[in-house]
Amino acid sequence: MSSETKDNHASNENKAGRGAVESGQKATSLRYQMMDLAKTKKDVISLGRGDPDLHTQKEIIDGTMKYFSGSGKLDSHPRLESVRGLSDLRAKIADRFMDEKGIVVDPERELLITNGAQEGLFLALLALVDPGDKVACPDPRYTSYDQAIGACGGTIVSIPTQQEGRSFELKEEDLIEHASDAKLLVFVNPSNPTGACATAENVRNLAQVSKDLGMIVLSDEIYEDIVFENHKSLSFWGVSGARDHSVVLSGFSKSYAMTGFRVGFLVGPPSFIDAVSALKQTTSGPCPVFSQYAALAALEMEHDSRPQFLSRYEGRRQMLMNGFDRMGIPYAEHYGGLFLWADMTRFGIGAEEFCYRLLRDVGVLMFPGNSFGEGWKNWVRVSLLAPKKSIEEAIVRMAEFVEGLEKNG
Amino acid sequence: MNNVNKVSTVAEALSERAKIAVAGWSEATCKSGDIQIPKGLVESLTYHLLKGETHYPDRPGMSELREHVGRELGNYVDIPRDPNEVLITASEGEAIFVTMLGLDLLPGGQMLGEKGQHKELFDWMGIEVSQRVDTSVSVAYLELDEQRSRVEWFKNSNVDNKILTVGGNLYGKNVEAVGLPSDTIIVGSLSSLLGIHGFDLGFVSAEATLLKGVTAWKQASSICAPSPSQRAALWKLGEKP
Repeated sequence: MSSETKDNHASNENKAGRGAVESGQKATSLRYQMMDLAKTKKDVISLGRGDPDLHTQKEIIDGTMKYFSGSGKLDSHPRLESVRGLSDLRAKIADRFMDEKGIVVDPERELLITNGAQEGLFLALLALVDPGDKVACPDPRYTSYDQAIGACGGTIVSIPTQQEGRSFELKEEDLIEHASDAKLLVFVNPSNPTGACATAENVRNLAQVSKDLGMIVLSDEIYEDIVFENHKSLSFWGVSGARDHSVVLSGFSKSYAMTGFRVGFLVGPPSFIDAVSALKQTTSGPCPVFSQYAALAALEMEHDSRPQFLSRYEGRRQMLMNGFDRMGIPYAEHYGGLFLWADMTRFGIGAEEFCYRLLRDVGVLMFPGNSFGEGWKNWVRVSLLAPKKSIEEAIVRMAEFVEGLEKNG
Repeated sequence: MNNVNKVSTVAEALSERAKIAVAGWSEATCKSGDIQIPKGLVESLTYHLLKGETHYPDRPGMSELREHVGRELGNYVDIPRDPNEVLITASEGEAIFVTMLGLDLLPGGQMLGEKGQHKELFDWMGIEVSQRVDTSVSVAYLELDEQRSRVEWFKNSNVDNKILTVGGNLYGKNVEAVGLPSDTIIVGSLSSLLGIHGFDLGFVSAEATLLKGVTAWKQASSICAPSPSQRAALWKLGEKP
């Protein structure tokens, strides 16, 4: 861990219960404040939120409407709907685990469909964390974890992920050093906000160390389909011997640009799926059937949209990286997910001020790093979720802003 | 407090609340796909989905829907609620859940009232609901469906927060609860609007500052309610196509 990382990490350790809730809400509300401010301005280019801007494929919409069979009648083949989700959808997800990852998943006992991955995250933590339990989380991170852990009365133990240079990776030695007594590790792969993507070897090492430490792993793999440069990673359930001490979280929102349908899923041992199903039945009930039909359509598309989406994200990513290179702004090594993590230290005004002025002066929205952990006051998260033309314009505006900043302060 | 809870399997790691939930759980299933859907609704959904309503809606809920709900709530409190005082949720259960979290009632919170139909939720959240008079309790809870005779008690209870659950009666004939204190937190379901299983929605209405805290929990629990469900509710309320 670098000395800079130690500084970033220092103020972000061991938040318990209410403290975790408050720090999580504060960080999250900072992002919402920026979005609210952006709404008050004209001609803003948003490189902020994580809602894919690409059009949802028509086949997915058609799949939703298939539920209604077009004539105003519902599908003429009634199905038994369970809080766990439609059997057909669970079977298709299990098939994909086998086809693409070589992982066997029992769709009846090891899968639950949730209202987006966010609900899956919340329910999984409710099912696994008791008051007083320590939960290891990467630093920086998407701070909704903090609220959920705090709601359970858990204590967050932050694990620094910044390595020497521009690499952000959750290493097993850092897990041992900082959180060997944690009950649970939240592992996010690829990472939001850093764009790090663990190698298969890294995943295997974490699986072994967490098992040796008697630690459960919640592996958040929501960005699993957005991996660049043929980087080879691995699902946590793809590690031999890991499935009895881990659960996997993923969904359809990011991979298929269908956030409004709210379809996610959890994969885990049967006892865990029973528990989260019971919790789900009590809180929200089943995921809407038409949304599940949409997800089913996504899995059954004749022409899978994921490679096409990835190719478009790749072009935007390259454009942003080139722009940042020209401005001399360093960014984290990026292999996956929908965000670049960039270091604005040299401007000397802090990320929050940088983002506020960038929005106010030239109408470009990015999120300050301290909305992903208190220590990241000089970093910003930049999303790939705008058309190339907008990204090109954002870079021009940003270059102008940066030039003015360096000239006038 | 158990600061070191070593476990070797997920099964061993299950929390106490998960064990409580499983113990009281019998999985409900229902048939889907055997109900007539109005053709106009199908056309409306198709129109809006093709227009791009496949992405996140406004996180607190579509503003037109919040306006409708806020207006209708004028039947319960003296004046209609502002859209900023209304939050749309995925179900009534979620509405109760995030309201409890927003009021910081977890774990070990207490409310005056009866557990009613959300008994299981309160049990595993560790919230005590009783009719004992305790001056330290700051929340009163009433489910209108079963407890109409208790409305006067509810109105007159001397607590900081009053939560009224109206179930699916928001758009029904029920107006027994007119004249509620203006700061009453009202929770309910919009599912009966269409009467079609699968379009479930709930809502929470409260004073804006309090609702902001509840909304933060809604965002943490599932971000927002599905766009098509909200569009379907709007269609039923006359927003066409």
